[in-house]
Amino acid sequence: MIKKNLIQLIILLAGCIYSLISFEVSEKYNVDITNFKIIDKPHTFLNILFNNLVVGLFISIGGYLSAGFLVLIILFWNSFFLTEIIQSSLVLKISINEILHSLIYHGPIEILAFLLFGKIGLDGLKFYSRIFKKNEINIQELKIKYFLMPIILLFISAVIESNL
Amino acid sequence: MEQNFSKIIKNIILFGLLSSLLGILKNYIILDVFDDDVKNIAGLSSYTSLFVSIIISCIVLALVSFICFIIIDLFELKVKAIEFSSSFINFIYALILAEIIKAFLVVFVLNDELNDLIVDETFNEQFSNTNWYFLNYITENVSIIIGILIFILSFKELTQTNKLLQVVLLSFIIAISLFISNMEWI
Repeated sequence: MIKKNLIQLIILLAGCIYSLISFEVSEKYNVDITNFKIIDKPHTFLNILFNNLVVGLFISIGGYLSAGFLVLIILFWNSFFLTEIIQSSLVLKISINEILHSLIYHGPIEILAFLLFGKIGLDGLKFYSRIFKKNEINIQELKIKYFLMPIILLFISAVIESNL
Repeated sequence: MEQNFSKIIKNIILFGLLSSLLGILKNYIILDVFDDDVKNIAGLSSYTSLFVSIIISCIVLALVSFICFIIIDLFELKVKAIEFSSSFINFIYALILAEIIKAFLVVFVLNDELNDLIVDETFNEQFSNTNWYFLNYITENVSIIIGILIFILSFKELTQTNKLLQVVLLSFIIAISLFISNMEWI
């Protein structure tokens, strides 16, 4: 279990580091930041919860059926993109307080939920090793109870995020 | 059934690996048009979407074949599981051939057309108006149709009572699922 968490944390960290190393500010584009918002989407509870649930199920079930590859790709991409957004906001001189305010309350809960979904997805490796070694099809790792905790966490995070 | 299904899974993985290699080649050629400052983010997002779409295609193929196995079992069709699996593997080979043709299209058609494209806000529109885009779209859809014909013809004793009808029903399920998964929804 610790091994799976460690793999996911390394991937998250790798996404952040890749963004920090490769981030470049293009001087070609003049961006007007008047009325700029970090989160500029319809901000309703249901909208946030639905989007996060789709990503969560994609990570868990898609990850399971892809032997864990989708988990790694999606976690890397999300941590890379989040770091890019934070760096771009800093370049646009948006105050650190505002950036922290939009992330710090719901962010850790959401990340924890996705890591729990990711753990389900990484079990897909066992599914494929059974197919290759024993020619046996068995999805014994996909149990409903494993989905309960991350869904509750996503619910809490959506409540917090929709009230920001 | 399990033995036949795992045979199919191994061939789907082969299809996924080959598609990834050819997709990397395609991305490499397309990304060459961009300036260095946008290459980084465009590169990462194109490789991410490439691998995600290939994984989804593989999952769809595996699920469709699994559903067909269930249908064969449930409705006690005249089609044997071993016969279905070898026909489905031929279908996967047809898809692999289409991927190779698509790679040739990138090298010989898109490579020339990319020089005429200008990187600005209309890039996506210019890109979707290229001859390559049209040919790639045609190849994708025609390959499914040819693959389905190969799938049907791979079965033996098709003249047996009701067997052809059952095989056509299975091929219809496969074709519809693949066309839906190929569709651009947004």
